[in-house]
Amino acid sequence: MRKFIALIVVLALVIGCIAGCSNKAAQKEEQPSQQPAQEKVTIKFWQAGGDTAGAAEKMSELIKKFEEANPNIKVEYMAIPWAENPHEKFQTAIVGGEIADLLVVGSPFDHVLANSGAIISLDQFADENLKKDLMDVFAREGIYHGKNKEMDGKLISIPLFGDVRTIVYNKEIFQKSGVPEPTESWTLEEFKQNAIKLTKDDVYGFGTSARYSSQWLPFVWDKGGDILNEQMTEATVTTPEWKEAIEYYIDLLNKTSVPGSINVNLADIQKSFAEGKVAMFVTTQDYVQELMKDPNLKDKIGVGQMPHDKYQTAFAGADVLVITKQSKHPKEAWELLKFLVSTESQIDYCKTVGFLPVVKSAASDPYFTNDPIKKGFLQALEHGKFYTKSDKASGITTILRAEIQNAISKKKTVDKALEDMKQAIDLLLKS
Amino acid sequence: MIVTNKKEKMGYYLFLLPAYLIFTVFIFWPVIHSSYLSFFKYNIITITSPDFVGLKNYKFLFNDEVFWTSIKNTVIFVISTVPVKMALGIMLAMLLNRKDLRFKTFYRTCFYIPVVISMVAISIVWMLLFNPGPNGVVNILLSKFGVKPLGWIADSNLSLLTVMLLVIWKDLGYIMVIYLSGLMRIPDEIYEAVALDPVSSWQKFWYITWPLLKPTTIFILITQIIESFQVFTPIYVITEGGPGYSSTTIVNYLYQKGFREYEMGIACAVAYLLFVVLLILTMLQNKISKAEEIRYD
Amino acid sequence: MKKILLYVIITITAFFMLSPMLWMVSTSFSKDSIIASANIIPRDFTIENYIKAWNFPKVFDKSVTFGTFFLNSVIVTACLVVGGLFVDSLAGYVLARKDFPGRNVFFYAALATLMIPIYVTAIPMFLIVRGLGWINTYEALIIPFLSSGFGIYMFKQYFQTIPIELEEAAKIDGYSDFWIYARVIVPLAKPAFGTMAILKFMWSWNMFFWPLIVTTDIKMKVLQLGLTMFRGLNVTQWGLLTAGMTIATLPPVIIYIIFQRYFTGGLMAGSLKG
Repeated sequence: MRKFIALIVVLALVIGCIAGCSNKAAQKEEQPSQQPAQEKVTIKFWQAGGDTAGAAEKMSELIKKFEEANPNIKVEYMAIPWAENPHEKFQTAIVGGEIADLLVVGSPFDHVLANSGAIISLDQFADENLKKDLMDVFAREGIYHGKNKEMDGKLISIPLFGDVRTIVYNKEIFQKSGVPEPTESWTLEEFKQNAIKLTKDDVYGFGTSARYSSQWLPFVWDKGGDILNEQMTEATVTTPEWKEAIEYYIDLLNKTSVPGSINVNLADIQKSFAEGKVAMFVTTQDYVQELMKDPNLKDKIGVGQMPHDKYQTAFAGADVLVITKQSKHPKEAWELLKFLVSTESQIDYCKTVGFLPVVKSAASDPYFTNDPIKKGFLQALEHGKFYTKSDKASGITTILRAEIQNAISKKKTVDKALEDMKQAIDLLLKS
Repeated sequence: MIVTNKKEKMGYYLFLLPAYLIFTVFIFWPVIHSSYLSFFKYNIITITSPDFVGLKNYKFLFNDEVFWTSIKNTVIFVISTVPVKMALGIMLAMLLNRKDLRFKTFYRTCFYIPVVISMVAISIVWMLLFNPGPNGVVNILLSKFGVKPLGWIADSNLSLLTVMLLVIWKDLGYIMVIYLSGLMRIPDEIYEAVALDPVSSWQKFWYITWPLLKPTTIFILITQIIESFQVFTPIYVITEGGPGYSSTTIVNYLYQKGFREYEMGIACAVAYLLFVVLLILTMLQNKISKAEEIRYD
Repeated sequence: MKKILLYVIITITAFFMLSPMLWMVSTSFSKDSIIASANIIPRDFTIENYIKAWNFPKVFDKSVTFGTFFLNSVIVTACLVVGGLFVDSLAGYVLARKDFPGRNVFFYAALATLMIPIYVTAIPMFLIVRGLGWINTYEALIIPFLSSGFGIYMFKQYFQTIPIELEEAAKIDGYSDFWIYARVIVPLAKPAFGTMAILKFMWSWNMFFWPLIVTTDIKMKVLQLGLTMFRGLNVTQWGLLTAGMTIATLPPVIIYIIFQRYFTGGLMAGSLKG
């Protein structure tokens, strides 16, 4: 009997605890209404990612500065690490009507949101000065919408920072093998030959993984190929350009990359590079910033441009700011947005997180122009090309990955893999 | 059976009320809602205005090769992992239940630890251990036995196996815990009764322990099949379904459709098909086990 | 001799089972690095990772540490284990012992709850929870998972193996069903309660997807969500991640050690004699 009473007591405690919590929650909601005099506007600001070392701290610092300058606005900030799949959380919050006013999302998710009418056009707010100051790559690649009738041609997002993948190499290995360091004019063939020369003993010339389309799409783009046609209604992957590029990439991967490159995790290649077993690989600026913290590597790292025959490109993206339709304070959200892309904030933020600034006035700061590594990445960003804007982008990624892997494993010929790729993407676009 | 009156029978429903009230609100209703939505085309964001499309989502699935591949992979996964886990689990439980074994708590805890580590975290570790190159930890170990480095997650024949190994390794302790509680139910007196007879330990197991563990075995079998059909996290982290679609499973496919392609209607159709299959499988297992029980008596 | 061999085999297998865990602990005591090493012995021993990991959430909110997440996890898990054992065993008891209309339907309905992936029910569930005004509350984390088909099934299975005579005697003495459940059945089913407590603790502690959806306030995050802070898109901070993982792994292990004594032999037989 004693134990039974104990059980009941514990249960009562549990229920009491729950009740207590709910009271607290209820009180919290009531608080703001008690002080109507100040007319303070609270906006919610959610950032997908914001998880590089020191990023959230810096963002909080910037927000504090903003609040001091705008005493009528209070900002509730939340960063959701990429590992928590923030986009899914945003989707659920939108469905539930609980979404924040201002969001940072990874491109091209802004186009998905625009397509379903979850965000508003920023044309009503953006002034010409800001538009002019934005680096050209963004206007060219990302921030104007092109599909949904209502939003067609409208400005839907302003990038918070840019992100680009380009060649990063180990100078020491190049010296040892007597291969000249990458120049801006390397052709694809030169690149492959040099990568082969670098591949000997324990070292691999070019570490890559077919798991990520960002690793091989620039080779397709170089030939002038692209995933979808301009109207984004059909896949254009069965062209001779695609075949040539895919065959080139497979040959490159087989001859110069680490074992298992077909599906290896990028972290493995990063590790091999840090251990001096990979001479070159394609990676992002924030990862290099982390690598530079290692005293053994600091002086050995060089940044080069993607090799090219026809069109010089690099796989680029941006984390962009959007204002939601559900927002009751879009004007205040815009004020915060504008503050975050101001020259000063941009320099401050990018110094900490290692990403690239989005406005020319910040990119021309000596901090970026004097550092060969930063400069290399900024230059790559200028040539940057974004992934497809289609709202089926994630589905397309899976298809691209699966079919190129089928071609590498020789399960299918390149022709057959590309045909199946087209069929699958077309089906997806129609569904 | 004890004779009961009507009022008492009503009392039984009171026992069920808390559990089934929660089920109704948080599971049954959402399930009905989503099976209804499997007849609509709806985007996760435009959820408020779905279009009725009839059986189109189901038709899409039947024509989608990737869906069939995912079913094939899932069936392979279930058939290969569940029996292995259960066989090893019962062996482990028997071993760690021996009267003459010392440090039992210590050993049992060792085998239980993999169960409690979060799947996401351990999947990342697994990926590093099974690195496909000659520098991968597992490949280094294998090379000591003269085995050439294997491709693991990079080999379409081995990627699913890599995940299976993780799942077996992780769930072993879990099966062990349930079997141990089953073994507790077998009174010592039964073994004492045959202690003087010249029976081998194998005979003891086969004629005493195994039949008495039967309810536990059926319980584990049914719950494990239900669970294994829904394997998701390790594949999501380790292989992302590749290379090709060689390790894509049903729930990976469902997740991809629902949260990556924003086709919630199709995702719901997948879930509903899965549900029907699992329900039939479970009912069959229950029927078979009941039929066998009668034979035993 | 045979005995020694047995111990050797068990110990080697146990080591094999533990090696990823050992790697995790070792990395957590090594200098932080973005590169994961394969060492089992920590290099440059340090406890810095633990301090850093513990204070890491402060960058989002000054008043939050890893301790906040830990406490949230403890509260949620405690409620789910205690409440869940009660709710499940109550339902399991009538399903095991009583005959009434719809019994089979109830039983299969409990099993059916295990058959639908949460990814399709999550959104309707979210809408209900929001309707109840539970976003960012403990209720949202606890109540939807208070009952489980697994628990009901397991208790039903176990109760069925308890001899019915004891119950019938109590019945003739005029005791109510609830009295019999609480005073006769529960004490006899200690191994089932012990096992379920261990399993429920583990599940509740490792819950990830649902807390992710219903909590937006950092103060309400649970431990498993806290861990993801160390995994960036391009960069993983291995030292911090493994330190966090080690902290997160300890409580379920301790719970296991405490509750597993309910398995120590002869319990059933003894209580039957008495």
